[in-house]
Amino acid sequence: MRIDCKKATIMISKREEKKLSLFERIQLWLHLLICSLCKLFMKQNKLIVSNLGGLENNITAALSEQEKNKIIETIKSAS
Amino acid sequence: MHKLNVNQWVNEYADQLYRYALPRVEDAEIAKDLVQDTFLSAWRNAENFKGEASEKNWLYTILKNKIIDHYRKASTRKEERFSENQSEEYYFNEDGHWTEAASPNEWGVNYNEKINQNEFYEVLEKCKKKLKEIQNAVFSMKYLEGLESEEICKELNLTSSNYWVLLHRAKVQLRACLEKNWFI
Repeated sequence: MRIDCKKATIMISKREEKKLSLFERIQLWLHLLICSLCKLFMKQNKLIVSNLGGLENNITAALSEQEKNKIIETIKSAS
Repeated sequence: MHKLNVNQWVNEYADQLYRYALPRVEDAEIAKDLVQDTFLSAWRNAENFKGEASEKNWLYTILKNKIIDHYRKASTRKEERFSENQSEEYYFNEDGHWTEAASPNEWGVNYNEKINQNEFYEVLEKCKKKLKEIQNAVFSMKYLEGLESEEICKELNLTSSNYWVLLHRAKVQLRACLEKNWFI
């Protein structure tokens, strides 16, 4: 009945996609009741995943003029 | 479309496409190559562009396909599939419990709020780039592209159990790397 942390962390991902049986959901629920580390893992991963969108918005990187010209040249020489 | 001015086209969209590709692949060079390939494909297929979607969406669609192709190539390099940056024993001991070294620590933030710190994103990006190519592929397809596990398994030719293990390892490593490098 009891599951370990390694299994629980995999089940946390599966639960997101509703890929757990009722029995597994109960197993995970019981594990999270007593395991503060896995609960923390779950919260922190939620935070990471929900902030991934910001990864794109916060990028200020740009191609240099030179790199853009190289792309333009490549297209022109290919056509 | 064929009347399109290449210079104007590249100048208008190259940076946007580059910024889209950058967090999804391992390094800037790959992102640049994918952007160039995107423009080339678009140019070669210009006559197929019917103007139904906007030019920008059309370019994004091409780029997305290029990125998935890139992931697929990574997944065929099977030898690295299950090699690890840090072995599983680093994170979990024999009885499946967190090791002392890898146990999650409290971050002291509100986990339900968005993080508005550039530093967080910088660290997140660096940590994501440390993942194995195949782990990054699985993680990005799931959380950046929002694909279902079945679709990802099909694209990358993975069994379902391999998929969950790869996703699990990506998440465990990403979390540990953030904790180590993000100073709140």
